[in-house]
Amino acid sequence: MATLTVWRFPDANGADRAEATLERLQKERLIKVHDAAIVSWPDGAKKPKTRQLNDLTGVAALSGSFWGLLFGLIFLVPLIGMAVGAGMGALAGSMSDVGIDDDFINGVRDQVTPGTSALFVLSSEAVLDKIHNVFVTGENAELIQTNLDDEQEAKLRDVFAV
Amino acid sequence: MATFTVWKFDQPDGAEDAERRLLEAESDGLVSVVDRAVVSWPVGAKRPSTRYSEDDELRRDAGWGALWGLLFGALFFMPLLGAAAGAGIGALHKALERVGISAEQMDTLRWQITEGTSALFLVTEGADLVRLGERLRGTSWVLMDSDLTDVEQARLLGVLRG
Repeated sequence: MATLTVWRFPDANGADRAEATLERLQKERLIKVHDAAIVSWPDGAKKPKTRQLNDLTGVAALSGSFWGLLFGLIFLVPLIGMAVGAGMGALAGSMSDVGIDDDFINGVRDQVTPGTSALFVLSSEAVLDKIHNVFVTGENAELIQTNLDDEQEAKLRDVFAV
Repeated sequence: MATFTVWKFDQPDGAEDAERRLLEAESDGLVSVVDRAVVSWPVGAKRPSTRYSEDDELRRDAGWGALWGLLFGALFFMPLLGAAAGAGIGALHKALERVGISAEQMDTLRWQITEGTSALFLVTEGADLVRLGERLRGTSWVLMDSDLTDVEQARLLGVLRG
């Protein structure tokens, strides 16, 4: 079973700082990172900056299309100025076939706002309480996460594999 | 004036070759490329590979991948995900209409970009499309040449630029 975890930091650079920490946690075998991306949203900017962390994973499990679609659904759809209610529900739920439901999409959208940043990690075998300790105690991060069952994970890899 | 064009090539590597000629044309002052993406669909592959300009140092602040993520998600990936994604595609078409890409154009792209072909997606400004076409001629044909209203242009550039 894989988990898609979002660590949300209360400043625009927190996720960048966390990249090195995540690398260390992986070396200590406290987490197995399959793919990861960073969203950083400076105060006053209209949209966030996003990047996939290819160095961390060696060979990323998923193509950039996965992150592009996810970030598009979360951050770009509201920017396009689509009226709330006009299909927003169907859009937010459109990745629920792979375990990423509308609660997750809307939760991330509400919490990752200008002046914050977030580290998105697709992982397995995470020793969550230890990681929690590092990010939450050390960096005041908040955790948003969703679990993918085996079938959902298999489908995600099948559709978005590099 | 901004335009959104899609150029199709009858070989999987045609769009990548054309991208090189496009960048030459840009340095010759023929066109200003706001953002671009390459879709390549090798024979025998279940889905195409997609590449955005976000790896391009020069345009790091432009294409953050989310628009391409939504576009390619709707065209190539969401149809493979399942029922919830299927329901989301229609809503996504409505969102993309707000940046001047119609549902009919999406259908054309979906039907035309198939195994064994490739396509170059371009958002350009000040392009002499006839002269640009001459540079790419012999290898391609224009799949889509959007006629954007001022409002759609502003939205499209707005979501691509910071």
